[in-house]
Order: sequence, then C-alpha cells, then structure tokens
Amino acid sequence: MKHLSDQELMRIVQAGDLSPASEIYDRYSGRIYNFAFRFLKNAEAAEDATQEVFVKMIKYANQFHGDAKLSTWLFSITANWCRDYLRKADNKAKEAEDVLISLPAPSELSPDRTLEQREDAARVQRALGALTPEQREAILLSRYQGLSYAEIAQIAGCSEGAVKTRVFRAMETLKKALTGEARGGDRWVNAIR
Amino acid sequence: MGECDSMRESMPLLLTESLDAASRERTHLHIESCDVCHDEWSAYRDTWRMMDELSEVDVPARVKQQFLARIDPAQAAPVRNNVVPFHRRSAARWLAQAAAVVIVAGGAFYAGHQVQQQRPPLPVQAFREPARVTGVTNIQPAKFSLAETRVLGTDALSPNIEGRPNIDNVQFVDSDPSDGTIGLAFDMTSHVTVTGSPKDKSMVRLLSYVLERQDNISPSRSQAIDWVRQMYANQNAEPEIATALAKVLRSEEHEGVRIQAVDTLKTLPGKTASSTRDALIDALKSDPNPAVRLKAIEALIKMASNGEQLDDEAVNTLRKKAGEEAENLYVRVKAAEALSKIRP
Amino acid sequence: MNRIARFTVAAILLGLPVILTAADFTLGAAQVWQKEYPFDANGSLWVENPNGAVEVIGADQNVISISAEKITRGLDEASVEEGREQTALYVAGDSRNRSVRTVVPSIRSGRWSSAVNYVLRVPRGATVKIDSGSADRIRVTNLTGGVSVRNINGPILLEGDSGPVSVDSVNGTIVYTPSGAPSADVKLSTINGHIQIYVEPEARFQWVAEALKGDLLTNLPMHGRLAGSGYRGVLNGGGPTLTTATAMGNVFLIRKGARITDARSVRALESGGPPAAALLSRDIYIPNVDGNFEYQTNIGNIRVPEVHGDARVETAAGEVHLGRIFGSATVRSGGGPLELGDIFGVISAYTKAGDILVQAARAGGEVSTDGGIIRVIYAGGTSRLHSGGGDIIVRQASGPIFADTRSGDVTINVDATLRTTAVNAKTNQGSIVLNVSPKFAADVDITILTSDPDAHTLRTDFPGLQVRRELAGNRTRVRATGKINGGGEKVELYAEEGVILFTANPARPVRLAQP
Repeated sequence: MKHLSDQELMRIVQAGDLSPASEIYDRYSGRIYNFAFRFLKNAEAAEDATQEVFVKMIKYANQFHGDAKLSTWLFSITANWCRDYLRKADNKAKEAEDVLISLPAPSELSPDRTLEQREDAARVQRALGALTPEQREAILLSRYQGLSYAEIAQIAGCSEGAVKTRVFRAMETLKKALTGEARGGDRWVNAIR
Repeated sequence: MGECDSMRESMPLLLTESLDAASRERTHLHIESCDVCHDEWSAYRDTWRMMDELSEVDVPARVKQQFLARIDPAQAAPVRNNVVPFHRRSAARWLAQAAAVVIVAGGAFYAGHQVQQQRPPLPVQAFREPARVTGVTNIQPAKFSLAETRVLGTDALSPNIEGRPNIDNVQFVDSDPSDGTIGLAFDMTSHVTVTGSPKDKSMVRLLSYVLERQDNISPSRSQAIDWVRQMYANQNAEPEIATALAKVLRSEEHEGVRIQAVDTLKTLPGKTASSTRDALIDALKSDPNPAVRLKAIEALIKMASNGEQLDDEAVNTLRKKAGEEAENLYVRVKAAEALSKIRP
Repeated sequence: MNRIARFTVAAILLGLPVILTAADFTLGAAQVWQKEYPFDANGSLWVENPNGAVEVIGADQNVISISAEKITRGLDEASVEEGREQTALYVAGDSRNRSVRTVVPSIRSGRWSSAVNYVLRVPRGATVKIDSGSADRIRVTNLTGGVSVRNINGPILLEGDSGPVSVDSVNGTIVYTPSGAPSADVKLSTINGHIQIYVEPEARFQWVAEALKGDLLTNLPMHGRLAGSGYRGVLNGGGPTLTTATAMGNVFLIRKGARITDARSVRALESGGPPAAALLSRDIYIPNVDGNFEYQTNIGNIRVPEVHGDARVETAAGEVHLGRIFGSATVRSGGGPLELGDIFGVISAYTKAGDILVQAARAGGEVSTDGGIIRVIYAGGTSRLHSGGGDIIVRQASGPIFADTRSGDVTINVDATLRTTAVNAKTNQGSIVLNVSPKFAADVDITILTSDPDAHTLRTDFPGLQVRRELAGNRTRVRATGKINGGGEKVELYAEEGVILFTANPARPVRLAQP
C-alpha cells in the first residue's frame, strides 16, 4: 500500500475495499489531528475531529474526485467539522474557558526541550488562541500545513483575497504578541495596585 | 493602498513562498530600500521562526483503533508504531529561498559594478586647491574603475561604497538647474563626479553615505546636510536620506551638525520611519543642546499634525518633558503643543 | 484559579447596513454584552480601553455588572466585519481582582475604527484603575475605595467620590466634585486641559496648584502664597492635600453652588491688584506701533511688524517676530526662536533656546542664543554673535564681526566693497569659512587645533602667510600668520576639529530696502 498514490488508494476504497483506510489514516492523521488540536485548543475535541474526518472520508469516498488533492479534501472536512463544533454554544464557552486549561503543558509534549523553547511554545499557543477562528484556520493551514491560498480558499469557502487578508491580520496579531510588544493574560491580574 | 501597505500584505506570501519570481524580487527590492518595511520584514521573519517552536503532537493510538473499529471491526488490530510523522517545511528550505533572493537582489542592485578590464591606475595627483568642477560631461562608460576620473550617470553605474572608501573634497554640482539632474563630486582615489536624478536609488544611497561618514570633517557634512535640505525638503520622499540624517542625529559629536540634521529631518516629506522617530525621541530625551530638543519636538509636532501615530514611548517622553521643571520653558510648551495634536 | 472568559452571552447584532455614521465611515455595527461576576466589597478593578467611554458607578452590591457596547465603523461591510473581528473584549481575574480589557491590534487597516463603551457597576468600596486612550467621557461616581485614571483625550468626571484620587490626563479636562470634603489626598494633573473642583465651603484641605501658562482661580477664602508659577494655600485650617497641575489650562477651585465666573486669580488675590505682566500668558500681535513699544509676557508669542521707535520685548517662553524697527531692538526670550527684520538701531537679542534670524542689523549689536543657529543676512555696525551650540552664518558683514560658537561652523562673507574690517571668529568644534574680496587687506592670525596631524585643515587663497605646525598636547596646532594685501584690521580665526577656508571669493552683495 505504501507505494500507491493517494488517488490509487481512494479508488480502491471507492470500489468497496477498505484495506487502504489504515494507510491513508497513517499518512494524514498527524496533520489532521494537529490542525484540529491547534484550532480548537482542546485535545479531546481534536481526537473526535480526527476520528470523524476519517470516518467521513470512508463514508463519502465516492464524492472524492481523483484529480483533486486528498489533503485538501480532508482538510475541508476537518475545517467544517471544527466550525460546526465551535458553533454549538456550549462548545464556544468551553473553547473560551479552556484556553488556559486544556492545552497540555509544553513540558509534557517535549521534556527534552529547553525551558526557553517550552515557554516560547506556550507563547505561540496563547497567541494563536487570541486570533479569530477564521484567522486561526487560515494561518494554521498556511503556516503549519503548507497549503496554498487557493487551497485554503477552497477549504474555508471564501475568496483567495479573503484568505490573504486573514493570514495578514493573523500575522500582524501574532507579530505583536510574539515579538515582545504585547503581553498575555498574566499581567491582567493584580494590575490595580 | 500605499506601496508599503501592499508590500506588507505580500510579506506572508513571501514567507510561504507563494509569490511568483518577479513579485518576490520586487518585494525584496522594496524591503531593501524601505526602512519601515525592512523593520516589518524582520519582525515577520522572527514571528515566523517563533511559530516553529510549537511542536507537533502525536496522535493518541486509541484514535486509530476507534476509527478502524467503526469502519470495520475486523481491521481494529493492535496499534503499530508506524505513524508517518508530518514533515514540517524545513527551515533550511526557507532560509535557502531567502538567501537566493538576497543574492538575486544583491546582484540586481549592484549591476554594473563588475570591472571587466583592469586599466592601470593614473598617478595620484596632489591637490593644493579644492578641485573645481567646471563642467559636467555625460560619458557613458560601460565599465567603471576607481582609478580613473569619470563622470558617471547613476542609472548606469553605482560606485562601490560598500567597502567604505575614504572620500574627501565633497562638492555639490548643479550646473543646469533646469535639467532635473544634480551632481555630487568627491575625491576617492581620484576625483569622481556622479550625476543622476535626486530620485535615483544610487544617488540617494551615495548622499546618505556622505551624510553618515563620521570622519568627514565639516564643513563637508554641514554643507551636505544643507544641500540635501534644498534637494529633498518638501519634495522627494526618500526614506534612506531620512535614515541617514537620523543616524547623524544619534551619533554626531558636533552639536552644530546635529542641529542641521534635525532641522533637515523636519522638512522631509513622507511617513516617518521608526528609526527616525526613535532618533527624535532620543534627541528629545537627552540631547544637551536645547535647540536640538526643540527641533526634535517640532518634527514630532509635524508628524502628529500629519495624522501619523505617536507611539507610547513618544507620548510618554512628551508627557515627561511637559512636566519637567528643569527643562527649558519653551521646550515644555512645545511638548504640550505636540500632545495636543494627538487624535484617536 | 484565574480564568479568562470572552463574552459568551449572545450578542445582539444591530443590523447592517447603516445604523451609525461617521465622517469617514458610512457603515457601522454595534454589539452589546452584559455580564455579572462576583466581586468583593473592596475588590480591585482595572479597566483598559483604548477608545470609548468608561463609566464606573459605585453601588450597594457584591457583584460587578459589566455592560459593554462595541461599535465598529468602516468603509464597507467587509471592513466593518474585520473591525468587529479584530476588536476583542477580555475579562480576567477573580472576585478580588478583576480586569476588563479591550484589545485591538496596534497596526491595522485604516478602513475601520472601533470603540467600546463600558458601564460598570461595582461595590462602593472598590478600588478602580482606568487606562484609557480616547474617550467621549470617563465618569466615576460614588466610590470610596480609591480611583486612578490615566487618559489622553476626553473629559474625566469624578462625582461623589471620596477616598484617594489620582488623575493623569494629556488633553482631557478634569472635573472633580467629591461627596463631602476630600478625606484623602487627591492629585489631578492634565497637560492641555483645565481642572475644575467643586467643594463644600466647610471643606478642609491644603491646595497645591501649578499652572504653567494658565491661571489659578478660586472663590474660596484660601490662605496661601504664590510659589513661582504655582500657589500653596490652605482652606479652613488644612487637611488632606489637593494637588492640581496643568501646563496649558486653568485651575478653578469653586465653592459648591457658586458660579465659576465668580472665581478670581490667586495671583491677583495675593498681590492685591491685577497679576503682574510677567505672570500673564498671552500672545500678542500689533501690526503697527507709532513710537516706542514695550511688552512683557509669561508664556506667549510676540509679533509686531512695524515699530516707529525703539522696541523692547520680553517673553518667558515664546517666539518673537519683529519686522521693521526704526529704533533699537531689545529682545529677551526664555526659549523660542527670534526673527528680527530690518532693524535700524542697535540690536540686543537673546534667547535661551532657539534659532535667531536677523534680516538686517544696520547698526550692529549683540545677538546670542544658548543653543541654536544664528543667521544674519546683513550686519552693518559692529556685531557680536554668540551661540552655545549651532552654526553662525553672516551673509554680508559690512562692519566688524565677532562670532563665536561652542560647536558649529562659522561662515562669514565680508562686503566686497570693504577694503578692511576686523573679523574674529571662533568655534570649539567646527569649521570657519571666511570669504572676502581679493583686495581685502588684513593682519591675519589663523589657528586650527586638530586631532588629525595629516589633515589639510587650512585652505587659503592668499599667499604670503607663514604656516607653522606644532604639537599641542596630543593634538596638532596649525597656525598661519601674516599680512595680506599690505595689512589692515585684525582677522583672527580659531577652529578646533575643523577646517578653515579663507577665500578670495566674495558673495553677491545684499540689497537693503530703502527706509
């Protein structure tokens, strides 16, 4: 299976044979999970998202056209799922309140990294959390998934110009947060005295 | 949308290598020549690099199990550790791309510099008197050697000032005020006159170099600044000139030259670069000459009146000055005036 | 544990397209949120809002009620939407310490603007700190815990507050009306705004007041004294300290119930008459004065195009513009540029900071600045020019010139028709350029002190000068002496760390206007 292209694997699935599912999962689960995790800021939700995306991939395999890129299609499904997740009111509250809670501590992720690297990672996590969902989606797909603006536009259901603006706005906010001009929520507390 | 705004919107595209070669080149050329965008670009790159710190998370094994169990219970085999990790775009690839652009941009900028034929240098001549340029002749040599006396057009050639050669005996030439060209004459290893439009990047770069030269004794530097004011005040917006003057303001020992520099900065059109703004704030905070502090405030007043934002540091410095008992009363009044111009 | 919560109560989107208009942005949207959090009776609240009104009301409750209205305006729908997205409201903290912040990116497109108007109700004993940029209004009422406000634009109204107060504004006017007498120290400071305080007549406090340009006025029976540009007074025996400071505005300390127009200047009260001219600040413009003119002001600009007599003006800080003065001109400024036109009599002009420009000093005189450039287009009689740091330029010297600057270049063009005249030019850090006619005669003494032993520091068109170089400490002294064209008045030039150019290249003559 490893020597087959994405299109070839999907053709096999479309023919009713589910044996390539594991291979496709192995190829893309990391990317899908990391995207969902950074987007939703919630590990549990990211796991659900990942599972659901691949289940849908199988269920709606016949909708996949061989000339398209599988990654783009999978990210479309993921993005839709994540947006739906956020739209639900209680999940929105959870999204907001979970900003500090459900992000795993950077030290758990990579105990071998220096303290500075772990703190930087935490800063990046927080800064991403400050973006709007649309901006976060665009910057995650662009920066971490390497998708083109045309692909992101397809996934987000907007124009390339809108993607360009969202990425630009996201970068502006991140730039401010990460290059030392802004401080995160820590200084908010006890600021009165 | 101004050019700088458009360039800044392209910067993420540059980082994601989404621009075509021509646009990439254009953007990099602009970044090289615009102080504000250069700072922005550095901040973007730093941000981009920092985002690398967010490391990948492994997918918990149970997710695959659950997925496989849902689609085909028979496939829900024990987890194998053969998850294919996602390969982030290698930082090396980005760096290589940036380096390639620098080489391309660098090559384009210094086009014409190659010396294809080395001619023997003329003997060094001692000048008792300052050299006078009695006429400016347009010669169009394709090559340029430092050892010859040449009259050069800046559009054809750019003398290599990167090696920071000694220049002396600077004179300013405008033999025909109506033709839109100006000339700068100076001694390097021999006397060189470079002509070009005030808007030529090479001319601007050369003038900036003359302004910044620390060991040029006045009156060359004062004259240079005075002449720059005549050429560029309220007319041609050239950020590099402003940057050079800001450097003079920061680092020049001679008070008289600093006064000239800040006086000229006041007259330059265009948006103020952050380096210029910082130089003005520093001058206001700590220059011992009250005329420099005064003129720095006047430059800030002009910025605020033009609708430019005064940042927190500028506002705090002005607030402090307005309330500082030891400061000259007029400087305090002007600081208050600058603050009154702040708009939301 | 501290939590950050964005506003999650359903937003009420007041529909597009047009509900709010502004001069530039024709589209707008508004969203309103309301939320409550537990809050201690003496908890601390910090509000940070770059743009928008803030109202804090003390009430009998143990919660903080937050009502926020976010208004976004833009050029089109997309801009409004972007502004809405980019303007975020954050609440953090717990019942002891709570913060409410509006966050917008510092660099954003000019296609939209946003403001958030807050109304916050807190327990009366709360301590409140407000950091604001521009606000239509900041209002804090009925608090006893303590109030601290910092803003740039917009009025600040404090009503019914007791407890310590500190206000620091750039352009805002501050109005403070405590409930009862001030029971703790109060500090009100604004740079360009005014300060108005309304107190009960039986209040007891000390008043420390400063107004740089403006006046200090009251209709209360203060006992005190003037102190420089300020005032120190006591009401009803004294108590906590009320400090008021404004640079450009006025301070009014008014009895509750009385009118602000009843207030009188403390400067007049103390002197028993109108305030001294030196304490008044005003600009003056008088187009024409027949006869002599004398004027003095504290902070103010003086502009007089024509005086048919002597002119004598003084300002503690300000610009002075004199046009044609048919007599002498005496000008003193504590700081500010001087521009003098055609002065027929002797000039005596001094500024502590700033450039001086003299079109024509027909009878010469003295011109001095502690820091700035001196430019004299025409100097007729003996002229002495001094700068504490800055260039000196004399376009045409038709009489003896003495010019010195601590740091800067000196450039003097001597009238080409003068056969000889005394010139003494000195700079401790800079160069000297002296242009005379080829027939100019003088006894020349030129000295240059330089750290660069190889520098060609002296260039002269006149042969016959004897040039010597010698070590002077760790510097080189170049000295050139001799007579040119047979000798005449003394020409002494001295420059450190510069060059001296002595050329036979006179400038074009200056044409003076007929009197």
